[in-house]
Amino acid sequence: MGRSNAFTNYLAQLDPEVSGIVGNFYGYSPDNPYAQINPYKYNHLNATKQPGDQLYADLIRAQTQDYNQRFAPIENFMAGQITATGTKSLEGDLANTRENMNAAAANVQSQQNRNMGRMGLQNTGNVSNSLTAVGGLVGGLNDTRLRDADRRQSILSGSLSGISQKARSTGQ
Amino acid sequence: MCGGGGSDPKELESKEALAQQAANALRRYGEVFVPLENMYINDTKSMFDKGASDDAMASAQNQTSAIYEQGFNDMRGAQFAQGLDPNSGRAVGESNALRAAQARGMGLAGSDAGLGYTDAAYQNLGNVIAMGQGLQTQAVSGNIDRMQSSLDRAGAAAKRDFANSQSIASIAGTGAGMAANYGLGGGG
Repeated sequence: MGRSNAFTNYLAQLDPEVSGIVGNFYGYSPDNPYAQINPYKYNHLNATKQPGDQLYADLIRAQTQDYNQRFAPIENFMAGQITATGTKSLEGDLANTRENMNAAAANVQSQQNRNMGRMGLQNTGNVSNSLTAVGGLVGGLNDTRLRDADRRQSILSGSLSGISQKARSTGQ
Repeated sequence: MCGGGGSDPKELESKEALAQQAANALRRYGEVFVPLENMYINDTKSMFDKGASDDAMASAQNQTSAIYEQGFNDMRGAQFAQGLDPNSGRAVGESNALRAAQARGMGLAGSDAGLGYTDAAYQNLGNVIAMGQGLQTQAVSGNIDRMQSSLDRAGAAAKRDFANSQSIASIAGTGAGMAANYGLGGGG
């Protein structure tokens, strides 16, 4: 704990960008990315040295570093999820749909067998092969694909389009 | 005449004071809100883990099954009340058809819960990105909201399935009216 505080204090004496690089090098990631900002770092400077501007510059560097560390990877992940037809989640969702339909059919089949058995009857029906269950599986798989394509559109026109516009306007 | 002063301009004292105020606010944001944001970011990331939606899907299946079970009890009661032989083709056929409908309802409800979970994961990612961009975040619908909309659909499907049950229809006069009595009606 004491060593960690000492290191935080040491980082606080550095330029925020440099402190980030040093912190990363030593695998040090404090919970508070703004802890190293010292509001009174430039108090001693003469007004002609623009201490307010220098402190503002530190804040902007700290925010940029925080954005690069915490949010940029999420943006990259989101952009990387998009495929030509949908998202990379499609495969998992299709597997979930199949699993759900198969598990439900097996579950219901067991229930029906038990119910018939209680009345001394042998169940000859096969839920999994019924038109209703098969139709449900096909419909479910189609719905999964459609939902995934919708999701892609929503990401492209929603979250990511906002970012690209903002990035473009910031770069101008 | 001409100024010609070579000295650097002095910065207003208020500018440094404002910068210090911003620095303190940012430090406080880091202490209080960054850990909460990180928690949200980690929760969002874990929504993409394999098997993360299993609980939501299983719960949707169980609750949909319960909706159908209530109708089955009434169907069996109605069959006995009519003196139907449970081994008869009509009784077995009706029962099997409704069981298949139950399987479809459970499977689709579970699948829908899984898809809703994935949608929510992407929506949360969008919120994280909005946080990073300093944009206004949109309201996040939780597991309960997603589950309820899924069950509303399952309830409506069950109502339609049992409305077609001949035994129930002949006992109650109208199948739809009886199904409404099971609490299968919407509005949930």
